[in-house]
Amino acid sequence: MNTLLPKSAGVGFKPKHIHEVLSGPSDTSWVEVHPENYMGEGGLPHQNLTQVRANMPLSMHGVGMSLGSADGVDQDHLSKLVALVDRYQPTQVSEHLAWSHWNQVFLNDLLPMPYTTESLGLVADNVSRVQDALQRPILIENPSLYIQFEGNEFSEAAFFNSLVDRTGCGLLFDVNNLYVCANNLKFNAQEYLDELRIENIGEVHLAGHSVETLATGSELLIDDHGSKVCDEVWSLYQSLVRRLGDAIPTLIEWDTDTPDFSEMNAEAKKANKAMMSALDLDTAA
Amino acid sequence: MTTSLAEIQKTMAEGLLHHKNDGIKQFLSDGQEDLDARISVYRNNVFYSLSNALADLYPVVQELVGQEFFRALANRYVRMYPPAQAAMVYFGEEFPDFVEQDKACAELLYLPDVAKLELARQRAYHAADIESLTPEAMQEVGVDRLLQSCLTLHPSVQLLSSSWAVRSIWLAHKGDQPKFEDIDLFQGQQSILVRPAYEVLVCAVDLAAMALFAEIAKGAALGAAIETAFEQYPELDVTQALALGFSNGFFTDINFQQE
Repeated sequence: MNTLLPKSAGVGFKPKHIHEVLSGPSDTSWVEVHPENYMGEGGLPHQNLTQVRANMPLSMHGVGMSLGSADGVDQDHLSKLVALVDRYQPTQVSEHLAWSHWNQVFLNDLLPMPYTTESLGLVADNVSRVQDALQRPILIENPSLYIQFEGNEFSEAAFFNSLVDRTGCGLLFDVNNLYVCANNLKFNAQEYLDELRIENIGEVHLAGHSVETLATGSELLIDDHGSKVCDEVWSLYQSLVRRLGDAIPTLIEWDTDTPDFSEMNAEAKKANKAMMSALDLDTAA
Repeated sequence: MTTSLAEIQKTMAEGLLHHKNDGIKQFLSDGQEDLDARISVYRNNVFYSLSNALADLYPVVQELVGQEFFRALANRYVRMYPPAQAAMVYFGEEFPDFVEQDKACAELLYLPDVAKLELARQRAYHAADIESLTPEAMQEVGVDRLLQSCLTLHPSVQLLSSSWAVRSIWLAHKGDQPKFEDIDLFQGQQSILVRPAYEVLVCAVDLAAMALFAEIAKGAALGAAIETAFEQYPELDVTQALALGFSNGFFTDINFQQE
């Protein structure tokens, strides 16, 4: 996969960090935004995004396209995304393997779906429709899951491999989500990576999660993007980088209780070092 | 025979919104423990993210009723008016009307108007960017010729008349003057909100000027707008009202009539 973003660390952009992001240099070489936050007509959000875009590469990571919705992609939402992509010309556009709306009700969460032939056909049609409208391939992110459907016909990795074949999309691989799913649904993360065609990965996400102890005593990991990346996710990330054999654009997400920019940037710096050390490259320089 | 994706999504959407887990469980594989807790993660995400979005839009309403009360109010609102689209910029439009109808809010008579002010602020904040005319433009044209024209309002302009002191209540909860205990709540207030640059201005206007701007907002030519406002408010000070409008960026264009 040809990666478009810099093969180094970026962070999720927060308006409160605007001055630090613009004042650079830092260990953060690109930023990512949710396009939904810029779907108003004007005002400060657009002023901020214009300045950020002029300063460093931008990734637009959608959370509202609902690519898994059985009633299809919302044309109004797609038109708004097309207008934003035309206006800001982001380096990369991505979305999620999830659904959020049913019958004109938008639930504002990334909801799961069974991995069946029906789902694959439907998601592939929706992805193709978005890619045709944007006139570019997009990356699709793996979900964090808390439940497992009966009647799955594919493993998640096989589902993604087929989706890439059908649509020409790439993958946005969230290492924390893999870690969360492997724990919550009891599977082996390395076996997942064995099956996934990782050469299709164009971007990686890293984030923190919280741990909830359930009534039966087992632990459920909640993907809340509310803390530092944990040690286990860092080592899973390094094993992915080793498998890739190359540096990869890597985003630090921190959306709940977002700290000062310096702390976000420290995580970005850690990602750059982890990437280099996984590749046995000297980072002293 | 597997269940169709449409059926699963219909059941999940309704089950998450209305706290029904049994329908959702029938689609899930056996052997998973704590299914209710697992499904709750999704339900919490839905209600938590949407009530946060509502609290971001209505911070003063939240302060007036307290966080716990606001969460419950927001949850009731989400069930009745779930968002129709993904951009949260457009979520919460029915909230002022909802608050007006909500029984638990019935004693706080000014609450719906505070919500209307916060919604007007949100609309002004996200309105299109167009450059406003300056007070110099008014001087150049002169009041006499201006009276023959039709003024175009800036897209961010929002008019709000209230029989409560909503602007003072709102300002008091932003930490500005006046203090809440010093406000005469029953003193009605007229406000015009506008965002000529990146900050939303909340301008105080009297009843007469409000009547004038309401006519302009309807698209009336300035002469006709003044006439209508005068009938109701003979005390209308046209020059002062227009000066207030031009100095706060209310107008984007002056169109002269053909006649």
